[in-house]
Formats: sequence, structure tokens, C-alpha cells
Amino acid sequence: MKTKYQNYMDRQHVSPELHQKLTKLKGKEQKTVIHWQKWAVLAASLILVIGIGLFAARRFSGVSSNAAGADGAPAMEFSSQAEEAAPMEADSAAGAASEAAVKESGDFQAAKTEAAEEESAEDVAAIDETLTQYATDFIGDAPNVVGIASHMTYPGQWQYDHVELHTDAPPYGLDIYLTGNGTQEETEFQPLADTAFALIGNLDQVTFLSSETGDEIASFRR
Amino acid sequence: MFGRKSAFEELVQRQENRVYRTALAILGNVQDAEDQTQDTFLKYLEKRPVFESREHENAWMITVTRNGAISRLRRKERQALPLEIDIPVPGPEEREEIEELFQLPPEDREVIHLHYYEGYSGEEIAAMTGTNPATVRSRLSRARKKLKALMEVEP
Repeated sequence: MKTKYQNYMDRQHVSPELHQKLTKLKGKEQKTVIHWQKWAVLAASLILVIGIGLFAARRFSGVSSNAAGADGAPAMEFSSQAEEAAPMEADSAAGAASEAAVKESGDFQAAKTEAAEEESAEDVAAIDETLTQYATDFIGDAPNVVGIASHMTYPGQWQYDHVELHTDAPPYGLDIYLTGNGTQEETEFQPLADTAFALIGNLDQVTFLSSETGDEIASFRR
Repeated sequence: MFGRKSAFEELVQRQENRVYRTALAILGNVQDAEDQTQDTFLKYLEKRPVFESREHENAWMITVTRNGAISRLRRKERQALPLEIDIPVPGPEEREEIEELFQLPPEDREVIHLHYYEGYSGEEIAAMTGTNPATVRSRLSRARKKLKALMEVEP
């Protein structure tokens, strides 16, 4: 005893092809984001920074003791400049000490900056690798498309929420819904769109939208 | 080990037709309904919600499908794309009523489906769709008058 509507809907089933697609989705679920290389780079950077820190601390303590003992004999580990100027007056020795301290401090800062830049470059490479593993020729390849959209870094406070794929007819589109808020500047989203176009073969259009309001933030055509 | 279904496969088996029918009722288009069905299960894999009961699971799947379908329609409207009705062909005895149903706005079809097919009350539908219970009731009443033959229990 059913209504005509119930009878009609009871006859509607997902196609066997769609059923296959749905069950295959599980194979791509929950990919590991953090790779061992990333941890290795992090550990190496940490060791480098600690090493530089210990080295600099030892040198600074030497400089301090020399500066403090300016009225006595100059310490041997002070600096080559100070060694050559052994017969110098105590005042000029103290001046050389502060000069060396500044130089050491400058070297330390440069090394630190260099280490930070190296670390940052490695991170970018790791993120790129994370995205490229999802590269696909088709917008209909939903698990990989989701992998790309969910692992991109969005500007400001925007965060990935979900995607919608438009696969039925050209232009093939990707809508990326974001939560939070942040910049609405199209230029901020241009690099993300470029990445999406580079990684998804037949993608024609990518649109960024707010998942709270449904409003469009930015949209790009290939 | 072999031949045994995973929890996700069981969920797909259990929910795929419910999700697909809900999407079809709102979108009125087989291709869009299939895309939305995929999106709903992807959302499940991303969020991994823990359900307290089967009713909770049903409601979550329907709500996610409904929200996705409405966003899909809004996007088409924004891009001025035609909202094509492309449903599986009804039988001769129901053709007129089914065609009339799919002439209604998607919001009305959504309420009709959730009430007459999924069996949710007006208040439950209002909570799921974030609308006023009075609006849901008026949509149902309008549907009852307009689609009397379709909603009557057949002998």
C-alpha cells in the first residue's frame, strides 16, 4: 500500500557503475599527509640550529670573559686580531673584543637565516610533492581532486571545507568551498587556481566559495 | 577475510539509494544526482562522523545530500545555466503526476520527498533544512492539494 510517488522512487536505484565508483572511494580515503622526508628535514634543521646555538653561546661567553678581564692579560681564545695586538693597551683590546662580538653575532644571524631559508625551501618542496601525488587528467577523478583541494594552503583564515565537481559537460568545473574568512582579493587565489589547472588535466574553471554564505570569493577560467 | 565487506562498503550499500533518491528529487536530473551522490560519500570520508544510531546516520546522509544539492542548484543559477529536468521515465499510469511534481520548485520537491518518502515530520524537516516549520507545513499543504493523486495511497 504505497503512493504513486513511493512506487516511482522505489524503482530508482544507483547504477552499477556508480555503485562501483562509490565502493572504490574507500581505497583513497585518509592519505597520510606527513612524509618521513619532512620529519628528516625537520630533525636535520633542528640539529643544525642547536649546533649553531651552542657554538655561538661558547664564543659569546669567551668574548664576555675577555671584555670583563680587559685590565688583565688578554685571553688566548679571544680572536686572531686580539692575539696579534697583544702588546696593545687594555682599552684597545676591549674595543677589538666588542668588534669581534658584533662580527660573531652577525655570522650567527646569517647562519640562522640561512638555516631558516633552507628549512622553508624543504617545506615548500614537501608540500608540492604532497599535491603532485594527486595529479590527474580528469576532473571526474574525485578522490584525487579532493586530495588537491584539501591539501592546498589557502590565504588568510580560509580553510578547506568541501568541493563540488561539475563533470557532466564542458566547461568542467571545480568549486572549492572554504570556511572561515579572509581576503577576497582575486590575486591571492590566482596561484591556487594555477596549481589546480596544472594538476587537473581537463579542468576548465575553478571557483572559490564561502561554505557559510555560498558567495563566490574568486573564479578563474583556464 | 576475503569476501567480507568493509564498514564503508556496508554504508554505501545501506545509504546509496537513499542518497541518490534524495538528490534526484531535489535536482530533477540523473547526472547531477549521481555527481551529488559521489560528493556525499566523499564528504563522509573526509569528516568521518560517528553516528549514535541508524536514524542519526540517515539524517546525516540526507542533510549533507540536501545541502550539496541546494548549493549545486544555486551555482547553476549564478552561472545562468539551465536547470534541466532529466528524470527516469515514469510508468504510463503515473506519468502525468510525476511530470507535474517535477515542475514544482526544488524546495517544494525536497519537502515532499522528505515527508512522503522518507517519512520525516514537518518539524524534523524544518530542523534539517533550517527553515521555519510553518513554511514546511504550507509547502506540504500546497503539495497535497496540487498532487493529490500522486500522494494518495494506492489500493
